[in-house]
Amino acid sequence: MIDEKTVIKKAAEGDRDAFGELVAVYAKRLYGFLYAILQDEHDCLDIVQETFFKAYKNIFTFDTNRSFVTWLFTIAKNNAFNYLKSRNRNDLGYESLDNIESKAEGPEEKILKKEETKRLADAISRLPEKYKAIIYLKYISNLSYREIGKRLNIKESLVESRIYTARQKIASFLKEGV
Amino acid sequence: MECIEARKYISLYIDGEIDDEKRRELLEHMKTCSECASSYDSMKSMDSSIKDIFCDKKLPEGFEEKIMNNLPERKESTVFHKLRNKAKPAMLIPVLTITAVLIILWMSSPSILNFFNKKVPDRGTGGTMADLAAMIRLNDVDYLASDDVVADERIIGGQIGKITKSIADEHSNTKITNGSATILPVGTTVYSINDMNDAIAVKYNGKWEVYKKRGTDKLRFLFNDDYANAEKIIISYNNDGKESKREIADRNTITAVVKYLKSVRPEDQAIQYSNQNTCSFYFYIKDGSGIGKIVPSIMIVYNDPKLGGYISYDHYYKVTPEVLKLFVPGTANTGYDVSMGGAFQIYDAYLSPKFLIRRFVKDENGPKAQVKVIKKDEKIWSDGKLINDTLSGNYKLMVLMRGTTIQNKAAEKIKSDYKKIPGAVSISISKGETDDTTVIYIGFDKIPNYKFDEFGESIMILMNGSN
Repeated sequence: MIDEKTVIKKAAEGDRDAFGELVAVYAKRLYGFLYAILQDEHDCLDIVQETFFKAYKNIFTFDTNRSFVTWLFTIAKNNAFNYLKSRNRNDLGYESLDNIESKAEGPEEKILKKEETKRLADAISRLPEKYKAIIYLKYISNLSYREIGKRLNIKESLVESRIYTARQKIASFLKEGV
Repeated sequence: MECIEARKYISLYIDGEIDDEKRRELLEHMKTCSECASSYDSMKSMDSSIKDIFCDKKLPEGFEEKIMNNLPERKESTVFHKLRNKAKPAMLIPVLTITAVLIILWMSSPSILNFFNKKVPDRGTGGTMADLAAMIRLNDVDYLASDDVVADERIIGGQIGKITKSIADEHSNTKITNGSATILPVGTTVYSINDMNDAIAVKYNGKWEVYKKRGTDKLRFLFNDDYANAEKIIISYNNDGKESKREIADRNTITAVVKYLKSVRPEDQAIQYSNQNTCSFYFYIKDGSGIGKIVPSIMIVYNDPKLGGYISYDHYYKVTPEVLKLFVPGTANTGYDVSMGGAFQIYDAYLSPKFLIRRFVKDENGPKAQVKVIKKDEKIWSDGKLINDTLSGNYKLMVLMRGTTIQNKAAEKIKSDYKKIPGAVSISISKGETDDTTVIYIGFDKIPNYKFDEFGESIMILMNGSN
């Protein structure tokens, strides 16, 4: 991909191929992310599809000065949590994924591990945007501190301290959840 | 290496961003410090768990094509071509600001707001990790940096302490003890200020800064007779990092300014210009012994002096173009783009005397609302239809609200009330990218009669107060 901003602008003007580029870059990653939360391949594929559908319909509302990956994953997360809500009749709200029973079956340890993953995904999604964007760029886009700094137009030292703070925050969210 | 430092380097080490020397130091440190070693273990395990979450998962064969085939169709109509060929984008320029203001005015009227399902933004719970303001702790008292100015060095008293510990921004889960400062470097001398018990002074980057005891830093100041008798007003301008100063010593002008400042009341409403210009001023007021007092530095924010602006202290006060001209001689800048900035801030001001902007808030997750003019030649698709075609009016305005849902009844009410927005000829309300995002489009035939030189393509407007 040459320049994401340009691709997004083209997509917003109705260029399907440009949107296709975004799908090619993010679909697999999105699928992995959703799978960590939902643990069900079929449901996840539905939500990947729904996420791109909504993103396509609304891409012109996206502000290109912000992080696309954060925007896209926020849509995915909302879809996933809405899905979980509707699956569990009693409204759990997206902040407590702890009580949601995993559909998957298996040894106890495996289930425990899955619960942990869900909690972690939840904790990341609760991060304030400035930290979330950095975590996403680091882990989803696999960028170095320098590249993240360039992308967000901030100093490398700030990237450094934000990643550190983001990790502290995630840890404290996880602690609260216990 | 100390533990505080080590914790920071652990993060760098995990990300492979550490240099060789620091890595050796860190590894040495962890050999002897079990706490840091266990901190490394848990951070490392979190890192690999996060990697697990964000790893690619192989999609079934042909799934990406399925996604693409499932997208709504977009058909370009002939009407659109006609519009596009006629379009003169530059003509659109003034519409944005005025309509945005009108819409906000309209949306924020209590009767309409009641229909919005307001959500309190999730601010997370940072615990001890909240970003710290510039502060000093000395003798068990916390002092926060203030905007006050040391107008006369003779007011500085004796040395009362030194900063012994400096806590870098965002590493604030460090324990604050006496002698700690968040921004100031270790070794900075702290001075008392004559005749002031609640404030201390430090010299930072060659300039005096006043720190005030926590709780006293936001006391409303009043323009009393001292101000009217001020010797002069000193104004500083900051152009691309270069500071310049100007003084007003004319008695009549000083009296007029104080009279004006006394007459204005703080506003509940605010706006911030992103292409803003600022300058600040303070009154040079002598005490009984002829020494200049510690005085507040007052900021003026404006876009175009011809339109007025506001001054900000702990509240916002509207400044008329006439008063602003005293402080800001010269011509207007170009560019008009209104944007709210800064997490958690509430800006209160008037954009103009006529149009009131109510209180809007931005939370940490970004602006809650966005307003954008849709230019004639700009293709905007929604639900597979061109907005340009589905809504009447030559110009369209998009109002995007995040975290806001509009119930059906409310939507009906808005649809029947939209004509209260001067010039509005059509409206559509739909859901945005998430279920709690609402997009409203409003069509206008004419550009309202309100002039600004130029502005950017979008306005961010902060929606719905947090409480």
